[in-house]
Amino acid sequence: MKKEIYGRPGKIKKIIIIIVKRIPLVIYTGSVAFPLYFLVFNSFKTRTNYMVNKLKLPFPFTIENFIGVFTKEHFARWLLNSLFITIVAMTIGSIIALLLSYGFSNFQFKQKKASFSFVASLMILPPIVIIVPLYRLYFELKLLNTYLGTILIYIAYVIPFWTYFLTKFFASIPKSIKESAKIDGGSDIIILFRLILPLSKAPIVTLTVASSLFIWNDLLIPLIFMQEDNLRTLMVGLTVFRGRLTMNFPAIFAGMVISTIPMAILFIYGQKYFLKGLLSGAIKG
Amino acid sequence: MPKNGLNKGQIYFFLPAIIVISFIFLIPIINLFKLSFQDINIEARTTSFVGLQNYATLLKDNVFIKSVRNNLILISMVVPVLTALCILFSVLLFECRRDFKFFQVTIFLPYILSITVVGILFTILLQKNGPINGILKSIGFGFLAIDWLGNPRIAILTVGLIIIWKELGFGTTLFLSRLMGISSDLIAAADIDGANWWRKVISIYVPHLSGIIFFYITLTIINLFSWVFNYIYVITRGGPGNSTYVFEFFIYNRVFWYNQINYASSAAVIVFVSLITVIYFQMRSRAGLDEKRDIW
Repeated sequence: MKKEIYGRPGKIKKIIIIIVKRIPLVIYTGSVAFPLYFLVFNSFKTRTNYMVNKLKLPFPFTIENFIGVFTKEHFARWLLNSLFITIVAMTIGSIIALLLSYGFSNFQFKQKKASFSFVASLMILPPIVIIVPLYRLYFELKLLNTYLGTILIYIAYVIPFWTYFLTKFFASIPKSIKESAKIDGGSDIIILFRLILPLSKAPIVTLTVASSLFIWNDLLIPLIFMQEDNLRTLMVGLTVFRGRLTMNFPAIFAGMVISTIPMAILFIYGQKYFLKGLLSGAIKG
Repeated sequence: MPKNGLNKGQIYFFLPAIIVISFIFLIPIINLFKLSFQDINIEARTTSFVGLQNYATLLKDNVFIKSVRNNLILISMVVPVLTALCILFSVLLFECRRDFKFFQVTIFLPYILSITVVGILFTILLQKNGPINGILKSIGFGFLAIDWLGNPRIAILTVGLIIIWKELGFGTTLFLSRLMGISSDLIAAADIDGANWWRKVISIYVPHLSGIIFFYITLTIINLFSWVFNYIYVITRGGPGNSTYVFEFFIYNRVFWYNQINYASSAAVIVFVSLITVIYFQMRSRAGLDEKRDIW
């Protein structure tokens, strides 16, 4: 890995090549960094300061926007809604998917391959396809504007995503481990939670990060199924915010920064596994 | 179901998933097809079977055709640019191990941000008198300081650019992780043979990435075809006029603004059937790839 990979030419030419290769990376990194800089720094400016200068450093520096945001609209409630929906849907969805993946990777039955492909393909079924009939169904069952209704949809989206990757991972665990546990009298459910689960930390963390991001950041489902103001999720709330606080950009920025923090924490926590998961092929081509 | 070879205890591993999937996916999809052949009159509370009439109207609807065209514009713009940039940046990152970490973390940040945040942020940045045009003018690129989102001819392309900004980090990281699997001997051998950079890209990196490139392109096409609602809703709401309508926004708009449930359902059926077709071909060719690589 440490081998010199730039070929044989002279030192100066080598340095020039290195610099030329870095230029696109620097431009790219800059184009990523600039909007983020704009977002974060402006969230610490006062309204008037933002109007006068949008690009300079936040001076005078204020955290007023971050405090103020919680007193505006139902921001705190929206934040809790998002947390609640994400955590509950993730927990239940992942347990159902664990069971299903174990079933797919260990039990033999007819049409196994076909049913696995069917479940996996649901992963990319866009919500817009099911939303119209689902809205009518929810209307009949009085599930509109309920946590249960929204959480159920997300559970349904967690299952195919997790099952696709976990089944492949479970299948890669040597059969001998499971068989020896079976001989010791372990039932399937005990094998799954005592034996397989601890071995699956990397893919589970990876999938948790990826699907939490999906649920937390989603807009369409809560936009339609959680229309009451106090039931909105944070992402829908932000779009409402933008409409209502048209001139108070720093407050909107502060709201956006806060909305990103939980996922940033989750990502930092899971980063090691997430990148490892990518490397080891938990998300596989 | 003993004929399937599952015993009673094993059924329970499948049962919760079967219930949820049936409730959220299967029943609604069956109902979707039913709705698309009906015409529900809300005031008179009557439902009549109209056959393919909704579909016939749809094909004559200019807004629908425009929506499809916008999806296709996004696909034909974003897919090649995004894929090429992912290859370029993953190779460049792969070759510069030293500052690797810094670049890698920075470019991955947009992946964590929500489309909502990215969308709101860019609508502010890309205003006609906004910061990006300000910078462009001040560095002498004033001719580029266009009305990014206000010009109906350009708006959909601007949305495409924002999508690229958001998606590039994930794709690059994905490709990079695959490049890490190349044996360093192979690259050393190429260097000894005097292969130049371009040669290495064509003969080593791209062939090594071919599987993941194929996967990524399929995924991106599917996303741009049926998962762009969030971008459109936040950035343009279909405007200016209806110049940035896409499939999903069209359906959303017809149902929740005009109450045309059946009409929207037939549009959703078209999305669904097109997707099934794409998945079918993807799976067939994937199956071929998988067998070759012996993943299963």
